[in-house]
Amino acid sequence: MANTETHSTLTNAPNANAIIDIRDLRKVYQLGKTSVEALRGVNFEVSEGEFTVVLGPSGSGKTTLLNIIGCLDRATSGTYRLDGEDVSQRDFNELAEVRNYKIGFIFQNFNLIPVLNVLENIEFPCLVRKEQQNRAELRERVRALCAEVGLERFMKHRPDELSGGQRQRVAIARALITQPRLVLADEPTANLDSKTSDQILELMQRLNRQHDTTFLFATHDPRVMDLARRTVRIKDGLVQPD
Amino acid sequence: MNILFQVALRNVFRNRRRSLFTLSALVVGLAVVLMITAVANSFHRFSVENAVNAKLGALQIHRSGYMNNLSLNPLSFKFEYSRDLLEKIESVRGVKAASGRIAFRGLVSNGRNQALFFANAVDVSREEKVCPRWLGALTLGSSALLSTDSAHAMVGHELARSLSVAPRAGVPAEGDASFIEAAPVEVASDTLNLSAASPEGRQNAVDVQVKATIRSLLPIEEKRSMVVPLSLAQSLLGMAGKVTEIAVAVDELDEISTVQRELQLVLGSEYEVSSWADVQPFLRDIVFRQRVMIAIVSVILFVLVLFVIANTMTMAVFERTREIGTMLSVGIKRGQIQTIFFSEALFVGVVGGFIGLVLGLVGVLITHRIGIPFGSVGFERGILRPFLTLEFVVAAFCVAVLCSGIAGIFPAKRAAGMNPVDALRSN
Repeated sequence: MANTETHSTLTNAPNANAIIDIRDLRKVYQLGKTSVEALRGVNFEVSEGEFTVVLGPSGSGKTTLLNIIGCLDRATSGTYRLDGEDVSQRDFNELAEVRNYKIGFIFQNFNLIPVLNVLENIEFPCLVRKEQQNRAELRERVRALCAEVGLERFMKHRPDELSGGQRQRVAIARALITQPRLVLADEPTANLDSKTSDQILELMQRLNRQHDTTFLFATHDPRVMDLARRTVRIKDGLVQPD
Repeated sequence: MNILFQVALRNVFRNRRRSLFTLSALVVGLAVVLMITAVANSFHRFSVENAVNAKLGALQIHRSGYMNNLSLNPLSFKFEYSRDLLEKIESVRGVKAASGRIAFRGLVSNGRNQALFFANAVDVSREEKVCPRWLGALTLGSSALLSTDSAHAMVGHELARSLSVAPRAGVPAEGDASFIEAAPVEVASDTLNLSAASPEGRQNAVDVQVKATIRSLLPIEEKRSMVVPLSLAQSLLGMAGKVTEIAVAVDELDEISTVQRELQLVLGSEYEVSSWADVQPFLRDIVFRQRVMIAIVSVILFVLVLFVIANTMTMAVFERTREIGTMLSVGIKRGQIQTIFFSEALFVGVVGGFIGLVLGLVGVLITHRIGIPFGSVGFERGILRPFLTLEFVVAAFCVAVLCSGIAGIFPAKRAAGMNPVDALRSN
């Protein structure tokens, strides 16, 4: 049975242990003259090392919430503290830096850079950083991660030479290479067969335990829900009490 | 290599057909610009050399004020034609030769009819060093003036026809004279009478024997022009030992400004040194206008190339929207996205520019070797040899690369301005 727990009752003081600490988050989209409120005052916390699933039907605000958590988008109002830092008012380039240093992404469509091979795809987030990287040390880390996700024989392959499962492993390795505080996975198993999905989920769970990295999933896959230690339901732009 | 440049470079090779199309536009554009400029350069040089070698001389020396008072009495600007002066002129670096002349006008008569003429009196022995083609296009049956001739003339073909004179057939011309067919002349005689006024206004006349008739591109020259020995003009005009101009040949036409400056310094303010462009401003203007036209055509070609590159790059941005989203999600900054697309455009520019340069230069080299036959009456029957200056080649390459860079700015900005959420959502 799923290992779930209810989200804690929030106080006004920021939670020091929370990786994600969201208070009264609102997001309004302006569609012509009409305003659409996608998030209507979301309060939500995720502690370090959690393996959490966000559930919600289409149009519930789940994607908007994940985009804001992933620093891909900004809220209209409210505060969002990531790893203790308020990132709600950061500008585009500052958010890019937050994404690069603190967040790893795993997408449904893998989203690898087609002109780079496995090794280059994995090291890419480190290489776009301002500071000079020790390439030898980085390559060593990439190789270790490749071994961990079972890609050591495919390091020179381009994405189009890999299966769906292998591509998702590359995406996972890329998400972890920066040693992020949070990994966001948006439907990571949606494009995989059940056997490969199981392997990928098992891998993510193992990495969650080994690296103590916080994982936040958006999924409809019941297998993911079974593995999650916590489930957060979102409906009509609000987090539902368990 | 920086990862961003790697991504840019590999994307150029990723869609080979499109890159090839973009490259071709740049290659063809640059090669065409180089070719048309080279051909135009050769035509300009041909025209100028023809004018300089046939009549003008690269430089002309006159008494100060001559050029501004041509409509008054040019003969009043006479000066001493001395060996010292010639040596002084020929001692200047870059001067090949110098020769004295008198330009004058008068009436020519065959005893029954008379006509106005414009004559050039030339120092025959020196003139061929200054203007190697000074004999022009002589008609068949003509013979050139010799340094020993003193009462002879070369007459414009139409002028000779109107006065029913022609040279006595026989002695062929020497030197570079080219002989051409001309309409037959109903010959009454080979002698004409020239009358002209001295600088002081005293009339004088002399009989001359027609040695040649000359064809020219310009009708006015055929109808009015004559060439006579310098000694004859000096005697007719009462200008013994004097000339009104000295024509100067230079070693390198491209160095003409330097030689002109040096000569002016050596001769002082008593004389004025004019270049062929000062003497024949219409020729200079024709060259200038043609250069402007070529420049306009070149700009149009480069603008077209710019639009082709900008268009294909914009298509690339649209096709790679999700890839841009992915890069944004892993924390790449807007400036770095711009760098990728700008580098792609610049890479295409450098490669396309280089290939276009090579292709254009090979084309120019081949046409230079083979030559383009060119010639008409009054022009040397010669061959155009297309050429380019190093400065132009470097400038054309830089403009091609610059065009690519400019063409890359808009797509690069578009890519960098994408919202990561929208970019990731794109299919």
